[in-house]
Amino acid sequence: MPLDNIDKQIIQALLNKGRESFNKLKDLTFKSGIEHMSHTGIRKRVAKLKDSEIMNIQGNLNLNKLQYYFAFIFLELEDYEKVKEIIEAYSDCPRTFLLTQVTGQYNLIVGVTGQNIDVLHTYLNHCGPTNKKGVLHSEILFTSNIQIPKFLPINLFSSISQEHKCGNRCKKCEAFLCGDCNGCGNF
Amino acid sequence: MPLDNIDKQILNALFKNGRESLTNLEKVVVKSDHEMMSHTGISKRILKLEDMGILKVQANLNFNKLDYKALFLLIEMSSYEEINNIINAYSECPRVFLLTQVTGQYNLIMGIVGQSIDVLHRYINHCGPTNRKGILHSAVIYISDFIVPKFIPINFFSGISKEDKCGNVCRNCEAYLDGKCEGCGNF
Repeated sequence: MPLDNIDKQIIQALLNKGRESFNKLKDLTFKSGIEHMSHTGIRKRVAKLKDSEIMNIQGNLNLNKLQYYFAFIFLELEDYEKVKEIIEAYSDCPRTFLLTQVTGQYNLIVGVTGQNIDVLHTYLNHCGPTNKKGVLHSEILFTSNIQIPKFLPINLFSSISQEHKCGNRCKKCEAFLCGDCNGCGNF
Repeated sequence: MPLDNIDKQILNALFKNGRESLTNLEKVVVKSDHEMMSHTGISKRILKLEDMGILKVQANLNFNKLDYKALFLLIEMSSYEEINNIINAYSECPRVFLLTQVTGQYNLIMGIVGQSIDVLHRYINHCGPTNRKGILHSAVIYISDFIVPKFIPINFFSGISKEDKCGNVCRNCEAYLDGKCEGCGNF
């Protein structure tokens, strides 16, 4: 679905303030020169953008403010089967804020986050993807400050463990045993 | 500020639906065993999280659905000053969905999005950062599939040109002259 000018104005307004009332959105959205959309018209547009999965309105988090640390993991994998296995294992991992398939020197780029540098290290050693079967080569770049996006769409607080997905067990992890990490989904 | 259990429940609910009504939030946020939060209490919490810069409810976009193409740029720079120059020039660029300083083989990772591969190519050649002074080495990695996050916050439809920031002028760009790109901020 191509976006028209009204969709774009609505998306922009909701990027700046996702909980803006339909009444206010009406004032910010112009149909033509000076004509405004009706608030029911806007409500329908928002519903359509959401239903077609083009847009989602979410509470994004500034993890810099929460003093979280981040790392990017670049992975080269043996074959496409292995790529799919890693995607399957980590797409619901609560620490994953970025997971993309790429073309070139690497197959996957994964962005992960941790409450502190220690937890991030333990994650990489214990439950991260670098030790998985089929990984030919991996590289890790640490980052402490993400400039863009300032607010990341990541759900750290689902309280749902995804251990069954990646197959790593919190109760075997040092960070969990020493209390640095409260376990998958319980950050 | 450390987040308490109520904050976390609110953040979890707003991640799933950023426009969830206060009345519905009241039903899912539990204070203690059987005690619920009042909706005014929840409203105050949301405002506080927003005021502290931890939470922002935003419209995030699904690049896969919009058929947008994206890539990562990995950049190694000659000095810290040059890094800051790039950050200043591109931190408001409407095509940048990721910009972060990293430690390791590279200094910066950038994520760039375009309406088509063609536009992305021209971006890299014309207005992207790779031709800038102070770059020792850069690598371009194309993204074939975005898995996490499914929806990304990006300031694509602001209608405001940032040519003054990066110093590249649209009317000197082939993609703009050919009509393939509508010019900075007018996607």
